[in-house]
Amino acid sequence: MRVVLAEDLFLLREGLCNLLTAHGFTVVAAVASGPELRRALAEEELDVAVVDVRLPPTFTDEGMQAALEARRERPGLPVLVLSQHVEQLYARELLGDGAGGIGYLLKDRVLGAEEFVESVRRVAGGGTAMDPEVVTKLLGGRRRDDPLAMLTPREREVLALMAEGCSNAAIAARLFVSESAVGKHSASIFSKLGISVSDDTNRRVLAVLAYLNGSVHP
Amino acid sequence: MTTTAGGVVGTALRSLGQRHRELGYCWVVGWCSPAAFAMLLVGLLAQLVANGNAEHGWVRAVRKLTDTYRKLPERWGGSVIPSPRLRDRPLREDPANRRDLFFLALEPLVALVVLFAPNMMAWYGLFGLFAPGIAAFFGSHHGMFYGAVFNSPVAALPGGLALYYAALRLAGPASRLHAHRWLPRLLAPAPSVAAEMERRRLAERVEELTETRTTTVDSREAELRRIERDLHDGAQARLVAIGLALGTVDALLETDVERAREMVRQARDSSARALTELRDLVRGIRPPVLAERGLVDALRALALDAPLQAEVDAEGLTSRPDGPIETALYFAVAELLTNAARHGDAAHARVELSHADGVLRCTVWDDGRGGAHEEAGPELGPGGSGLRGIRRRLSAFDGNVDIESPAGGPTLVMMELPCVLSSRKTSSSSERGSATS
Repeated sequence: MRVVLAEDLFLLREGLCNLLTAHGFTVVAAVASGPELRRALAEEELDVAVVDVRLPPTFTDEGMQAALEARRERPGLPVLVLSQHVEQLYARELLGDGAGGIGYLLKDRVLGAEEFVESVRRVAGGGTAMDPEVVTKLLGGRRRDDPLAMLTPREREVLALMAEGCSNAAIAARLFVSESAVGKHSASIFSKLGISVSDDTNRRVLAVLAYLNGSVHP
Repeated sequence: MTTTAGGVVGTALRSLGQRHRELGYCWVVGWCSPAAFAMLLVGLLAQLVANGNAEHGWVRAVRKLTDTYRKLPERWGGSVIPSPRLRDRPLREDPANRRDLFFLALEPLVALVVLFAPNMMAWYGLFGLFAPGIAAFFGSHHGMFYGAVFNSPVAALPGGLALYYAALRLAGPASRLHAHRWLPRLLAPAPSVAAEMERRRLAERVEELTETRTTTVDSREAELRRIERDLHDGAQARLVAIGLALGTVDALLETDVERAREMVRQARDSSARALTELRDLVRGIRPPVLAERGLVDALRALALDAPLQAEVDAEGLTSRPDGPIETALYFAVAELLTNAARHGDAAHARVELSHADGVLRCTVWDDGRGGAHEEAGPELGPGGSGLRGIRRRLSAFDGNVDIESPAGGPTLVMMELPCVLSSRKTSSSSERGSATS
C-alpha cells in the first residue's frame, strides 16, 4: 500500500516512516512542508496520505488545507489527518464532502502502533477513523435539546464506536456482545435519530456524524 | 440605462442640496452673529440697570453662545472645537471668558465680511429671477437695476440665475473658511491653556497605564506560576515515572516478563496522560486552533465545544486583529460562554464580532437567567471573578467591558478594543460554510 507522509518534525516523520514500512506500507513520499505535500498529492500514485495539520511555512493548518484541496481535486482520496489537538470544527470540515476515506486522529494514537496501522488501513479502504476524543466531544450530550439524550447508554457506546469507524463485527468484539445484538442496537439508534438504515458501515458513520454536525441530513 | 440616468440625477440633486445647505449656513450665521451679539449687549445692559451687577448671568450666557459656535465646524466634516475651560477654574476667573467675549464682539464683523458675498449675490440673484414678474406686475421696469443694465426685464432671468449660481459656488468656500479657519482661532483653547490640558491628559494617561501595567504584570506572573506548577506536577512527574518504569523493566526483563510487561503498560499510560496534560496546558496558554485559524474559527470551535447552543457571527470582521488581542478576546468569550452555561443556565448564546472606526467590538449574548455582576460581596456572593478577569485582561489593551444582565436575563456583554486590523484574512479557507452550531 502506497503512502504519502507529511510531518515537519524529523523524529516523528522518521518514526512514522519506520512504523508504516514495518507494517508493509510503501512510503512513496515523506515531506516536511505544505508546498511539498501539495506537489506530492498531485503527482504521486498513492493509496493513502498521512498528514500533519500544522506544517511549515505558515505553521497554520497548511496540511489540512492541502488535504482538503487534494480531495476536491480527487474526491474520496483517502487522507488521515494527525494533530496535537482535535477540534469538532476540523472534524466537520473533513467529513463535509461525505466521500469517506477520512481519518482524524490525535498524534498520541501513533503510540498504539497496531491500532494506528489498522486506522490507516481502514481509511485507505474508504472507511473512517475518528479520534475517540472527537467522538466523546460529539457525543458529549451536554446540550439540552440533544437528540442523543434519547439513546440508552449501550446505544451511545455503539454509536461512539461506529463513529470511530468500527464495523459491526469490531464493535461486537469490543463490547463483548454478538454481532446481531450490535445490529439491533444500531437499528434502534437510527430509528431514534431518524436516519434510514443502509448496509454500508461507512455510509452509516458518515450519516451519524453528519447528523451530529447538523450539516447534512441523510 | 435608467439606473445611470437616475444615478446622475441623484448625484446632481445631492450636490445641489449640499450647496444649499452651505448657502443656508452663510445666511443663518451671517444674520445670527450680529443678532446674538446685540442680544448679549442688551442683556448685559438690562442686568446692569436692574441690579448694578452683571456678573451673574453673562458668563453663562457667553459660555452657552460660544459653545453653540464650537459645534458649527462639525457640520462641514470638521470636529467640535474643544472647550478651552479647565475644570477646576472658577467660573468667573477663567481667562477663556475674555477670549470668548472678544470672539463674540468680532464675529459679527468677520461673518459680515466672509459671508457677505454669497449672501448678497444669492439675494440679488433671486431678486433678478423675480424681477421680470415684478416689472410686469407694476407695468414698468424703469429705474430697476436689472432693467438698467440689460435694457430688458427678460435679460434679468439669466443674470439672476448666474448670480444665484455664483452664490452657490461661493457658499462652500465661504462657510468652510468661516467654520474651519476663523472659529477655531479664538474659540479653541489658548496655547497656554492647551498645553495645560495636554499636561493633565498625559498625567491621567500615565496613571492609567501604570495601573494597567501593574495588573498585566501581576496576571502574567500568576499565569507563569500556574504553568510552572502544572508542568512540575504533571508532565515532568510523569516523565520521571516513565523513566523509573523503564529502568525497572530493564531489570525485570530477564526474571519476570509478566511484571515487566505490566510496567511497560503503565509507562505507556503515563506517557498518554502526560500528553493529555500538556495538551490541556497548551490550550490554556494559547489554543492551537487560534494559531492555526485565527480568532473567528477559534470562536467557532469554541462554540461547537460549548455546553450550550452557540452561534458565531463575524460578518463585520474582514481581517484579523493582532495576536495578543485575539488571545485576550478568545479567553474572554470562553469565560463568558462557560459562565452562561454554568451560572446562567443558558441554552443559547450568540457571539458577534465587528470592526468599525478602529474599534473591535465583540458582544456575547445568552438567554440565561441573568444577574451577572463583577462585584463580590456578602449579598452578591463570591461571583464576578471571571468578569473581573476579563476586564483586567482587556484593560491591558485599553479595552472596555459593558455588562447588561438584569435578573431573569438575558445577559449581554459588550467588549470594545481599540485596534487596527492586519491584512491577514479572518480564516484561512474561504470555502467554508457557516460553522454555527
